[in-house]
Amino acid sequence: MSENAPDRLVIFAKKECPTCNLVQPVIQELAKSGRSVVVFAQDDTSFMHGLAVEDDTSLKQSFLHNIEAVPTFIRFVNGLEIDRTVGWSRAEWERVSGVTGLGQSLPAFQPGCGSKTREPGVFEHLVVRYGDTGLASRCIEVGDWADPVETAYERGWSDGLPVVPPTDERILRMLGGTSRKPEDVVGRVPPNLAPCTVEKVAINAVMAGCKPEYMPIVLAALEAALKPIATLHGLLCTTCSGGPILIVNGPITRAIGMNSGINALGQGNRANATIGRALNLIVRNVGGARPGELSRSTLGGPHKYTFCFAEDESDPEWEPLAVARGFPRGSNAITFFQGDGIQAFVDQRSRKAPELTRSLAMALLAVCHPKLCEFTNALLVLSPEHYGIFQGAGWDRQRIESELHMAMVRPGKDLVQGAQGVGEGIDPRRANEMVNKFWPEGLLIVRAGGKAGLFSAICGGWTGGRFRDQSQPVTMEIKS
Amino acid sequence: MTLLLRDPTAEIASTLRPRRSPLETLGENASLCSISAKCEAMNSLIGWKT
Repeated sequence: MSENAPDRLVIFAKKECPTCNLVQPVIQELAKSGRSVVVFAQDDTSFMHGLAVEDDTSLKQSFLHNIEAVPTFIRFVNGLEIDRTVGWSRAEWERVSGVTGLGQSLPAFQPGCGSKTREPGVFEHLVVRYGDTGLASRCIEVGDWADPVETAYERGWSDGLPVVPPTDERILRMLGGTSRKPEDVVGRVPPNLAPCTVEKVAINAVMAGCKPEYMPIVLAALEAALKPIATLHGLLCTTCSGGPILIVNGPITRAIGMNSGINALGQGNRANATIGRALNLIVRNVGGARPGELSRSTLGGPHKYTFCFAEDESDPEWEPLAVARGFPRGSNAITFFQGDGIQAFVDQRSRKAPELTRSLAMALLAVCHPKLCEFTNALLVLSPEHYGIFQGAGWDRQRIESELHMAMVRPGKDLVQGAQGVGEGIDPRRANEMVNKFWPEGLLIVRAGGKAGLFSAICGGWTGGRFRDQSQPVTMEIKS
Repeated sequence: MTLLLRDPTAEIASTLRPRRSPLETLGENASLCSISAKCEAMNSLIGWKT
């Protein structure tokens, strides 16, 4: 703060603040008493009549003096701040100014308003313009006439769709969505095993189109994916079609507006679409899993752009997936499932629970290959109407799972390699066994979808799931 | 005003340069002879000096 007077009183104010208008006579009183008084106006320099008003519509001085509310009343002596108060309080203003009897006609106290520097989206601009962003990632200059979206394509940052340019303002705003420090390393992302900081997560979340409030979920998704048992490396580099499928549970899904209803597995919801996309961009950009390079999927699938949804937890009798996997009811958690895109399940005729069980089992047996067993996991997304049939029979999650597993036990002789004239199949040594389709923990059931339609969905798991003790879905708590 | 973006990659050697080949860059920017991308591309293709 430049100084002419050794003892100076400075007020930061804005015209739209009633308290700033209220204290005008007090400021005039101070000026008339011979004190050096300067007002910095954040929005309009014309409202403090007869006073020295500095234009701070750029908000530079407000930012540099860390103004969080107006009016802020500061006393400088020899250029150094020695005291400040916020809002109007006669006692406080008298203490700061050293003048007694101020504003006798005013109420003794009135709170102020938020500073314009703290309006949504403003602060990050000011940090970039006048402060230190603290960001460590390399800066990429985009020429005056260049398109930043095209720059992202040219640099290989995109999954094929346009990305939101990761400017410092956007990154800082994204970092505001987590209490974690930008320099914290979340983990090493395969296949390059490159360290990934919270800042890198934020940059990729910006590019994916996330809102800051999605950051805790993106971070939890990445942490889940980086657990060794999630075998992310294998999932990224496999020739199979698998990719990350994210299922989110807990009140956070409602808070950020995730979709668990109509078209829950499809397009149209920002949170669903961008959280899944952010994880895939991190894997691409930080981990280096680019198709044709280290990412080697023979066919891939649209789920590899993004596949994330919330579970429908509207029925209090239903045990949500995260609860079934060990988390307390009502907690926020995310499950990372290694899987393919959806296989639609259509049954509009079966209206009894045992009938529907047999019907679902027929479809589930086709996961991966009808003759392969204990070879992969599966995710069954039960629609409300199909779930209603089980619910009407009084079946809970455990009963549905157990009945489905039992309905999928078959004689090994029909499944061994070569049986039924098909080369694919299970180990011939199992010909005399009764064989389960999935491991007991290998069938994950979630509820989602619109209220109308006797249609559910099956997502086959990645074949790495056949190594039961080495590759499993992971559920993680979502922390702020 | 020059726009600055932050690098989303791990900033290891294989990610530090634009990934398109000079020929691709030349194709898209053939009518924009003043921009450096074309000059770089031409330089690498036929030895033009920028």
